Amino acid sequence: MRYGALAAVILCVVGSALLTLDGGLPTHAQLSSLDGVDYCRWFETLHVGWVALAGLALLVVVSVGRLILCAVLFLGEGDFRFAIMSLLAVILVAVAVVFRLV
Amino acid sequence: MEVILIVLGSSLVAGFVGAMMGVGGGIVVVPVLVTLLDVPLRLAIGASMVGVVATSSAAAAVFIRDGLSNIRLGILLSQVTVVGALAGVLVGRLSGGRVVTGVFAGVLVFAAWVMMRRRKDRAIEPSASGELEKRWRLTGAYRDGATGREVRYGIVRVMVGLPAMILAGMASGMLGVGGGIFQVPIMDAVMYVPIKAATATSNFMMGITAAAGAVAFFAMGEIEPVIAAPVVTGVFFGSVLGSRVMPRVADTRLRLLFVGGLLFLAGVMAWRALTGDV
Repeated sequence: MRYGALAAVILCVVGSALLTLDGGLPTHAQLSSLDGVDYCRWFETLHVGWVALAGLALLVVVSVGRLILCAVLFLGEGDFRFAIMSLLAVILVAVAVVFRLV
Repeated sequence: MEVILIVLGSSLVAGFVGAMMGVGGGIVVVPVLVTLLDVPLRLAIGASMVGVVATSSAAAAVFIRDGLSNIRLGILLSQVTVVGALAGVLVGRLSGGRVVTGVFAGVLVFAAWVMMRRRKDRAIEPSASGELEKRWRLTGAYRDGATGREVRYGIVRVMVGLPAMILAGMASGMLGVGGGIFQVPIMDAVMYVPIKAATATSNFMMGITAAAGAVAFFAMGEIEPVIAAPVVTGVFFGSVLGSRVMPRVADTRLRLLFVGGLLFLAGVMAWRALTGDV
């Protein structure tokens, strides 16, 4: 888990460096005018952007992964109640995808 | 280059100060990004949300290894905080920037109060736990690093603490903070969880709660990697550094200085909310 988080942070560091080298980043004055991101278009303009995005996504995956690990461990102990609760938390996190529609 | 360095530097300081104050990086990084760098509030919250996941994931592994995190309690309470976080994201989205900024100012004042309050440890014996808490094996034990002794503790009124945790979840989803400033006092005052265990369990929960918020912000396209990646990097390393330095330098005067900083940020956020400059 710790190494997963570290790997994600390293991807963020490398991604930030690549984004800097690639150029095309907003200036300080342009920060206030930034709007939401359309990730598909974003990739077209910043080809190296996937590294930073992969780091950010990996962080979420690591966090959800520990819930799945907990579920497996609880199942091993025969504690079905908490195994189900762990999986329910995973489902609740996944449900957040519906915000795409908001 | 300029932007990444500024965001990275600010987040590093925010993560360091947040860890030094024991309130996490999120509560500092959002007002810093918004007030000093003029980053739009939604993007600052999205970036902070992923930063919370990063710091929680790194620290939780250590807390779990040391037995400080009460996993069962954390998973149980996370059911509510995750729902609260999703509700918080929705409320924040619907209510607009002025309301969110105003609420943030209020939460900063609350955080300052929590920091100044002297905490009393109200730990109870496992045998004094409620029936439900015993049946669900929510009681815990950990080895106290300071005394070297094993601390066994009981838990009460989990069904009272459970709905109260919605508040912590909503704060996380709406403001991009970890929610620890609500979670720890609730576990301490309502459920009598010892402070160290409450802090570690809260850290475990934050990662899950913020992950839900982060997925929602990803889905809405409000996690801008140009800002979020340096924020994650800065907050992560700043928190690691801050948590190592804290035990050696934290004293009352330093605490007062940080409280002053939080109240200053609260004032700036409140002013922005009132004038509509968000």
